[in-house]
Amino acid sequence: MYPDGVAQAPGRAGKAEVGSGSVSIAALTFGDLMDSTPHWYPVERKLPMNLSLTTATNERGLETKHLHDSIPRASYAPRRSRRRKGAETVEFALTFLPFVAMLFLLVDSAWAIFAKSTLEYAVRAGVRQGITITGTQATAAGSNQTAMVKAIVQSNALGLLSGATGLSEIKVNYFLPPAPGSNGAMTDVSTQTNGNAPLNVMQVSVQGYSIASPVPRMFSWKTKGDGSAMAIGAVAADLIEPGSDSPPIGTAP
Amino acid sequence: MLVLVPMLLGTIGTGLNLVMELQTIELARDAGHMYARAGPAADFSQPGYQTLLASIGSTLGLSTTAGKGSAVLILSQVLYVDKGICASDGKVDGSGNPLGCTNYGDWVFTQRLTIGNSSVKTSNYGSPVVTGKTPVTIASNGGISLSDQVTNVGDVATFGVGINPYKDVSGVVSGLPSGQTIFIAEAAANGYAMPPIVNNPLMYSYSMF
Repeated sequence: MYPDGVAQAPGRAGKAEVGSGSVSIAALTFGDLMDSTPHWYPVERKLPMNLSLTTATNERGLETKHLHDSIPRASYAPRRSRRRKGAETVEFALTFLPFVAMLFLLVDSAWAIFAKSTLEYAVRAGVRQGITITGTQATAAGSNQTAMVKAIVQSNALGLLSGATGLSEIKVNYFLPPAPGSNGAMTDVSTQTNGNAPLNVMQVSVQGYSIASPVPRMFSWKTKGDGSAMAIGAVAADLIEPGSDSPPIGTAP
Repeated sequence: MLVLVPMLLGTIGTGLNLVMELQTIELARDAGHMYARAGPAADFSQPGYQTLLASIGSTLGLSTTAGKGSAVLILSQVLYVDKGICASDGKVDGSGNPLGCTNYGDWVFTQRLTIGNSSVKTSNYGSPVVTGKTPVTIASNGGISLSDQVTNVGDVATFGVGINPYKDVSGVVSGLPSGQTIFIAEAAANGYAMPPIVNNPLMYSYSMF
């Protein structure tokens, strides 16, 4: 052992010594520890407090070194575990955020699809029943054709069009078809008392309905998230069934 | 992520196509019922009716301009050519049997209207042949002349799906009455494509009255 605590160069004969202080880390290679060809590099590093170096001479005269650790092996476990926990936290953060974004996208899409299909069904049901309403039925219900159609749509909308607000978003229009051979457009006769005459067109639609987005929709990292409500509409139309018992039209649209 | 992302995108794509399929069904149903109910009184070649149909199929991309949009609505009337139809065009002999009635025993088109982009899909029931030596003449309102219906083989429809033609066996009448037409509305639209999960989806529905 050199006076300054530097580990003795391999290959020199000598007694077994216990050294401490600094050692060439590069010298502590697998080859050294296995007592084979030693390596020596002039790079000196201080040994950690828990490490000590033992130098000994074997039967063949070769100098061997042994590194001892004063800390039991089991004591390393908590330190490695803490390091691993840190890595796990980072990995969790990296995967959790995209996962949550995907989840919200799925919920957002599913909600919109559900609302759209529900409204489509509701207006279709309103038209299907609405074109067959007779005056007798309207009198019995104490109502009129437009109000009855709106009620049918509302009851088939699974609560999406509940209340006065939902009712106001349901529109019932009546159109007079153009005469045969005419290139004119259909005439909106919703405000006329005979607008619901047989073979006129009844059009039921949902207008102004929108659903709020659970989270802002991100289309790009560079643009701000779109948190605006999504407008959803639905429309269906059919010819009013012929008959002589037309119900009162009510207040349309 | 390699599994979840395609699953998520596939779910969304399938959901959007599901809604589009519902709209296609509704368009075919509404158009078919109006087409049949109005009968000769309604001319669906008129802009007024086409605008109404386009509003029903607006989210599918149905346009009133021919060749535009991403959806098509095909309206057809088919008729079974029996002895009575042959006789109405004078294609019978003195005993009332078909004579020169080329399309006798076939289903033929009496009207064909195509609204929207016809390249989206052709009819499952065939189309009147408007080219060749003996083309079928389709009027501006979609009508086809009685002469073409009776004698032009290009007017024969591919139609034999469960509809029994008119029969009069020993005075027992069954099937569709003579001269009665069947109204068919076919709606088709390009769905939401998301390759390689959803490739070239085509929404299609039909209704008959």
